[in-house]
Amino acid sequence: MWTIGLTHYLILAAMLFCIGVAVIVTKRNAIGILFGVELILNAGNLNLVAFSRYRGADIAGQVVAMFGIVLAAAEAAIAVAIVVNLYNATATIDVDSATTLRG
Amino acid sequence: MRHALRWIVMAGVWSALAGTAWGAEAPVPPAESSSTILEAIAFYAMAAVALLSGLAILVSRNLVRNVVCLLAALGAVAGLYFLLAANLLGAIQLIVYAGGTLVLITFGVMLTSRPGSDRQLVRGWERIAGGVVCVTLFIGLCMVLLCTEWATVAASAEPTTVAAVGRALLTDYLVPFELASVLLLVMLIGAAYLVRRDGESGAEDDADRC
Amino acid sequence: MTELTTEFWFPPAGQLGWFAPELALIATIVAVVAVPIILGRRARLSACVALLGVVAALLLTGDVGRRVAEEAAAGLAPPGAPPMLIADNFAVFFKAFLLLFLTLVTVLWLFGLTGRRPALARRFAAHSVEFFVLLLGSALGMMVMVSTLNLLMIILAIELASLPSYALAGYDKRDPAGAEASLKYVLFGAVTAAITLYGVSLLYGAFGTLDIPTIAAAMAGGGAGVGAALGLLGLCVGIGFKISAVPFHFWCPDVFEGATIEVATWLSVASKAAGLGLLLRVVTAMGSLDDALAITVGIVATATCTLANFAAYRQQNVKRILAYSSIAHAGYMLMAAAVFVPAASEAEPNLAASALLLYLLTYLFMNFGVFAATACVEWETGSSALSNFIGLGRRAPWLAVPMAVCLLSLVGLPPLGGFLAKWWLLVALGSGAAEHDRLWGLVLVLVLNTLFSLYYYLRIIYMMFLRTEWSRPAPLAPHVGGLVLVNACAVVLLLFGTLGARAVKLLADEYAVHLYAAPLARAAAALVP
Repeated sequence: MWTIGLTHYLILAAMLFCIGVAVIVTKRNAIGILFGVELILNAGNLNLVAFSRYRGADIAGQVVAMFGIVLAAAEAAIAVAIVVNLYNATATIDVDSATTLRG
Repeated sequence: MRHALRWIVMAGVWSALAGTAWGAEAPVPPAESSSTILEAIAFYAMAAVALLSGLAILVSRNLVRNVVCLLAALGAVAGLYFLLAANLLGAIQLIVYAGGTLVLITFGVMLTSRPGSDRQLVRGWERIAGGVVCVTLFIGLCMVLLCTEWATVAASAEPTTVAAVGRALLTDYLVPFELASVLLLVMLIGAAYLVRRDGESGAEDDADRC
Repeated sequence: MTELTTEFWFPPAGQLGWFAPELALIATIVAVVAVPIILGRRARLSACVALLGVVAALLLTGDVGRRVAEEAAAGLAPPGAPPMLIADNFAVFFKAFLLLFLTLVTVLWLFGLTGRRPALARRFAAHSVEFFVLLLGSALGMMVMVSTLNLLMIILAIELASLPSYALAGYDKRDPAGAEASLKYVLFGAVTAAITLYGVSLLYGAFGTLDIPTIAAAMAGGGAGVGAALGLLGLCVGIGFKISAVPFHFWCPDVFEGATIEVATWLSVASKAAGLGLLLRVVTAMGSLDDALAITVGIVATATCTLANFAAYRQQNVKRILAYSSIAHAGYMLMAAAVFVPAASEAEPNLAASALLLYLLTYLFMNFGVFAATACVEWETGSSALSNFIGLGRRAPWLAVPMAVCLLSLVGLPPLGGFLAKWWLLVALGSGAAEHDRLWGLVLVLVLNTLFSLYYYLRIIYMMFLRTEWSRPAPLAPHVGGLVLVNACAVVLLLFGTLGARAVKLLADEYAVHLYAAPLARAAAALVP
């Protein structure tokens, strides 16, 4: 309980992952879904850093986590740009009301 | 509700700051030392902040409030990085993620917010179904994580230095590093193109408004 | 530690030379941005710069291919580490394939400038620089996808292939359908990318390395736990998204319908080819799939083609029909990965890999032919609704006949290339199933699905030739360049099915040998200086 080990971090990351999935499933706002994605990305990064630490400070995990942050930034940039673009075109970013494309 | 959120957010910001200070000053001591308890307390505090702000994102419908909660969560995760002796990564998390990416998302929220647009929610049964799925997922994940024998080495006391990470980026990870720079260049151009109002279309939009 | 001497690593020119096509593509991206600064923004100029760069990259790929044929495999490897990028026969084939297709799409885009209505064409021409930067960026990502076995590189490559595609889907900013398509695409992609990262973190945790051959060796040694399996599943989510395999296929029809026809054409072949190439590379590195994994891939493949074929029945838009058709074909090709068996010797062509390469090559021409024909109709009439194809046989016979040839080839009817592609796939399925005595059902699934798919392909042909309208249909004057492209594709397909059948099979065999695979000690030893 009072000795923090790898498992503690893994379980915490799993919780963040599941909260992220729940956010994605229940939000209907495009940016709201993006919040869920960020939580999942953080869960993955936390896993990587924890593994890196408990493998004797292996650097690879930290480097991948760093690239994970870069990817999150690039993805957020393009997602926000697309959301703004959709808002300019249709004045809504509600995923449920975006139903022009059906079939 | 509002008060609880305010407390969570304040706790998140403070713990992130405390984590920064703590991580920067004291490298993580070996496991046998007397500060194990201190480490545990720090871990549980950050974990609580991260989880509570995650849950707040889940239940709150206000996007601005969500952004602040995400800030607290990111700060808490940065604190955990410091706890894991990944000082550089913790700093990057605070500077790039909390300071850059989140601001970007905030811009997105501001540019697309409309009165009433943040009140949209899924139907009740969908939320319940989502909750059940996630709890099941969590139980399954935990079982998998606990059943697996993760090969662990005794954690070293030394925090990873910035120099080590930098050297890795310029030797073993040079190729992904360069690829990431191409990715960022392409994305910069793509994102700028999408949000920019063209000359002619901007004029037309103005005409529409008149 | 020899810190001072090994502080920086600049890849030696000899190693960099293997990746000249990628470097050429990066240089082309820079040139596309830089040239308009000097010579002004002109649509044709950007397209020509891009075309020049892509053709140069294609020639360089040919050169690399010749050298790879002599030395079997090479890579870009930091000192003492496994290679980050791999150059082998397989990678050369996929690079040449992607660059050839990129050339075709660029030409199609150029024709679209004159084929479209002037107002629309002007809108497209105004942003040619951004279009080609994004297109080349996603092509670069796909080329890296098929030439790496490093988990970090795989994540980066998938993102580099996907992120520009999201922006391309919403390229026409004033079209709400395009904006909606890109939103669905980016949300779906972001979620799968995040799950992939989580999966990779578990794989890294289980094995402490990012190199897939090392992981495969550890797994073969019995070191695979449940956590590692979960990690592998996460990785498969990312690949499945690129292939649009069944639980991750939802984006495909919406994006194809909402995006402009050139972008839909690009995604229909390139995204799937890159995903399949990556999947087959991972499978090759693992030697052969164990039973559970092979059966999972087999089930996913079955679900993918069956669901797609049935969903295509009630579509009224040709682009949507083609989207489901492309999902179904991805399912067929996924079957080859499920029955993958390593060849007896390295120099012997691998049956499953060869069938996949042959199928992809044929698929490129049949799919591009149909899409180019649809583009001709869409440029003229402004939409790709099925009703616009009524009476096309009389209104534009030079368009309708080759399009029908391409459609029949997609079905897999005998005198055409599509038949041979399906035939060799069946042979590979049969021999792979016999090897392990499992997955016999896939043979039946492939045959049955070919029958199912007959209906909706024939429906388009029926609309074009047999359906009569009460009112006299207006004659259609399709763009001449588009006509040339469609007819060329039809001729190529006829050749693939008749005279060139042997040559195509030999070509596919030639690139299915010496796959960078499990006995990597040889290659790794050759790479470490």
